[in-house]
Amino acid sequence: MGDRHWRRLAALSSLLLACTGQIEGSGGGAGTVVEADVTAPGVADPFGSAPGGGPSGAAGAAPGSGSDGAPGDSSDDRAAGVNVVECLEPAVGPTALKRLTHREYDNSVRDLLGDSSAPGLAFAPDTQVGLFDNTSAAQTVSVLLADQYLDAAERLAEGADVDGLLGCDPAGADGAACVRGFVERFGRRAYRRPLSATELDDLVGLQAELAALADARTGVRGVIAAVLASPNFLFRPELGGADGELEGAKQLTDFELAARLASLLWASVPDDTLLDAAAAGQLQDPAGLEAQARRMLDDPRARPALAAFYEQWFGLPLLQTATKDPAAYPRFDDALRASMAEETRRFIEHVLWEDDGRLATLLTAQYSFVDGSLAELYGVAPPADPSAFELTFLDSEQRRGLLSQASLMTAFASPAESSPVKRGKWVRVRILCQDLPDPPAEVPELPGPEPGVTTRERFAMHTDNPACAGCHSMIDGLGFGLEHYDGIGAYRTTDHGAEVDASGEINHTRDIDGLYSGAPELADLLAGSAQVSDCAPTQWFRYALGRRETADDACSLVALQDAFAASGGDLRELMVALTQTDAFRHYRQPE
Amino acid sequence: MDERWLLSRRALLGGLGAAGAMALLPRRLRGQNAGDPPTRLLVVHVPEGMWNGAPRPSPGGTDLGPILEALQPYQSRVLVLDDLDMQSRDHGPGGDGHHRGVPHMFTGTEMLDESNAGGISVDQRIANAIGGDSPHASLQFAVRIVYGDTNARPLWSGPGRVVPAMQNPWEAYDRIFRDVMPDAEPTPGPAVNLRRSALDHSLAELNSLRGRLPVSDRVLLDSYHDSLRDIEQRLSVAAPAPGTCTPPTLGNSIDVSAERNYPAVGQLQMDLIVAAFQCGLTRVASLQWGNSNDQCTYSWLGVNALGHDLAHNNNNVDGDGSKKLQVYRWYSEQAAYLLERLDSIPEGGGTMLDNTLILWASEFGESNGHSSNNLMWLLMGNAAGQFGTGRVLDCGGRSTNDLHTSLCNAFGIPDQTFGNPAYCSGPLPNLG
Repeated sequence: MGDRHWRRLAALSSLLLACTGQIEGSGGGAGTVVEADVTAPGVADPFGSAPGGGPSGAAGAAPGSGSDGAPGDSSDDRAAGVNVVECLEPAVGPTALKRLTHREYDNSVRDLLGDSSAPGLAFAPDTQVGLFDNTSAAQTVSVLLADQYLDAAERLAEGADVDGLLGCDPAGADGAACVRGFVERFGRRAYRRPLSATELDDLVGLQAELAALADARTGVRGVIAAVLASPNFLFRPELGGADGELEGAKQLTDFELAARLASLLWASVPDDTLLDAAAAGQLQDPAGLEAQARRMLDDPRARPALAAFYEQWFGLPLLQTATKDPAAYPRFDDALRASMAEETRRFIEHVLWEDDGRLATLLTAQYSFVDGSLAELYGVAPPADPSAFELTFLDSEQRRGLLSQASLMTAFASPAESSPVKRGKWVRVRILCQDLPDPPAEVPELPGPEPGVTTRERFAMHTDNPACAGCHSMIDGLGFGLEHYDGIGAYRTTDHGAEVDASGEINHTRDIDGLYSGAPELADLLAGSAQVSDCAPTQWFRYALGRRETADDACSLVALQDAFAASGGDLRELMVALTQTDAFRHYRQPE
Repeated sequence: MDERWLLSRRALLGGLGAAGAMALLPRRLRGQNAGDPPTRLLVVHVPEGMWNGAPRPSPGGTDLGPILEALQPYQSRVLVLDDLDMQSRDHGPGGDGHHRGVPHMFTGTEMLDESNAGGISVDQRIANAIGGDSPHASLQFAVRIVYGDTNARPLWSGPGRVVPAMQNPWEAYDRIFRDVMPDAEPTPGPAVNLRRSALDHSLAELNSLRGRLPVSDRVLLDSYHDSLRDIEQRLSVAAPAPGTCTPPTLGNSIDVSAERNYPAVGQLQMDLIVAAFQCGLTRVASLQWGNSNDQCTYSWLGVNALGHDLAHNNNNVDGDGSKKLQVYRWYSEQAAYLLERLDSIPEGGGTMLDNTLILWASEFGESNGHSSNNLMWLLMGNAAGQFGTGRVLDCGGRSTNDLHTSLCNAFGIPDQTFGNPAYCSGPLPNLG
């Protein structure tokens, strides 16, 4: 890899905090790019030994305070832990073949057949890579999954309303035309492009063959089953079309763009309007692409599709299996767990679609959605109907935004107490986009709980012990601010009989280093941070493309981050901006 | 013999007449020799290594010690392999001990990247060799995997090809037994089999697509192709004769993701494995207990602390070690249940246990250190007399790949190495 590439690589990789040289075999969290080239020992200067590591030109880095460099100096930004991206030469990373996620499968059969049975919920779960479950490299099809595909195809076909789907009589006088018309329409939506003549003939032939053995409708069911098990449905093959302006890359065809749009914005197949726009060649034009993206964002199908991303980004699925010690938290049960999850789902949906749609609002909103059990947990007046969720304003001194919601405080805690480590890591990795090295194998024991000693005081050993301090000074200071929330998110002023100290320190960030106290102040700091503003587009980029960014994606990522910042952190505009990036609009064959 | 059950669901794409159906007559599964019961392999993963707070059994002794105490009645059927070393683990890409150890433990070679193992796991290697005569070349079971990253992915059919496990016993039952059990009330088969026609159509489209897409896309496409071929093969393999086996009774469905159901789900999965073996539905199976990074709090034991925190002594949740002892002993009780079930089923001149080999393994040696050396793995049963059970073998730091080579040999694969040969010095001696 040439020096030019290297510089971009170093800048692009979300920072792997090289917090200690003592960790053996620290391969670097989820980083695929970072490991080989960037990891450098030393707390103060993680990128300092990088060859060619020069000034970073982009993204308006603010002074950092985490190193001995001069404030404002860009090399200092890196040393402080800056994930600044610089765009030197337009390019795009290699395109990976994508398979439908199980979510996309369910939505697709809903849109194709009107079947909401969601068989994909029972498919073998895909392997999670990093934060997300849709990484191309983890989308091989095992025998188990293939079995499940065939079973679902059979069951869905058997249950399909054939007459309703066809709108004509396949056994009637014009049966052949009826069937052919259906196969064309159905196949175009399922394969997200017109069928080739051969494909059309094969499927029509299959119908005829089965009709001869049984009847015409059974033949149609056979077509439906065959399409649902087809690799052209289950995968999203791309080859690109015309050569583009980018070296080594092709522009995606209109139909490939339609498929990407539908996957990103609906987690489903395109509708006929989108396919018609593709057929008319309107999607090659960025303005045409934008018009479709805006139309699709206004469609209800966008809501669950986008929600799935936010739930994975924030780690909400971990709430589902969090287990609590009943002695420590006797009121925690499956009903309260479900209420917690519902609160956060409703909150995210409301911010995105009813409120201003801004990242800052997700982080700092003064309201949430509370039912009877959560009202009790939060110490607020319950809704008139305790089973209903009502938009409720919470004490601004106690809670603000997502970070203080019971769902996350429960998922990121221990069975019998809070966890400054899990919560600090949540902020560092998910919100600041900084990967951490793996913890060392031999973990020294922390002192056990005892009256009069807070959790925080026990965890302070991390920073007193030099073997732990390197990393934990970057983790715990973010988690200590959340110490007012116990292991199920109830607000507390004392812990083990001693007063809670929720002061913390942020370090190794681009622009928010310093002391703070409590979750409301932490939320405000994060909401105002350019580093956090750049993180949301980075996470979306990974999710949308099903892979980590590479050095060649730098220009797309910079453009996306700039557009997001220019919109004032508008998460709906982020979706539109994503469709305009080179990475979204191009195909590059992997080497 | 009533053949109607054969026609109930399988291979009934229209046009398959009586002659075609007769080609699906059951035939006996093959063991090493005609007439012998088949040998079988079960690979089990348990989390968090061994706790050094209790003594391990020692060579020359017959006392299995406090952790393995539940297995003491079966001591003569257990071969303790002490001091194995997963030599490949600290080479190549990968995350922490869990995220390396699990994808390395049965593959014995460097990972492709942080998320994908770089080779085939030993169970799949053996399934490829002996699975062809069974309806399922292998079957995978798991109990409550909380999050499915590589810390819960020990099995691979090849580089980058994960083999996931069934976590729901009811769904597993449906998949394994529905096609092969005689219908209580024989019903006329459907005129066409949509599943089969979809399979054929997909294989044809895969062949066409494969030629059009770049080589880099073939990992995914080929995985689907090979899986469909595997299923196609299943349709051509005869199911067991009616009456030769009894599928377990599962009772009413329960929430398999709820921790309180962990023991019940585990037992049902073991019952299904035993039944699948007994019915001749597979010769290779696996069972995963939870995540490697153990997220179970063992609430039914009153432990109420995460297994992972226990292993690391995190937060001093287990001052005197009594909770750890409880947890490790509980897993030994599960192993004993499995042996009891297998030993209760007569087969050949002995029991099913005699013809089965169970590898019971964790990716760690000592629990807190999360190291991959000084592993203590168990072999139980002896695959028709091939392993000298009833003792403790000091493996002297030999590679787990050496053991895997021996396992391959025991199932008729003459290979002299397994995994990356750099971490293998041939079959493990003194196993017989």
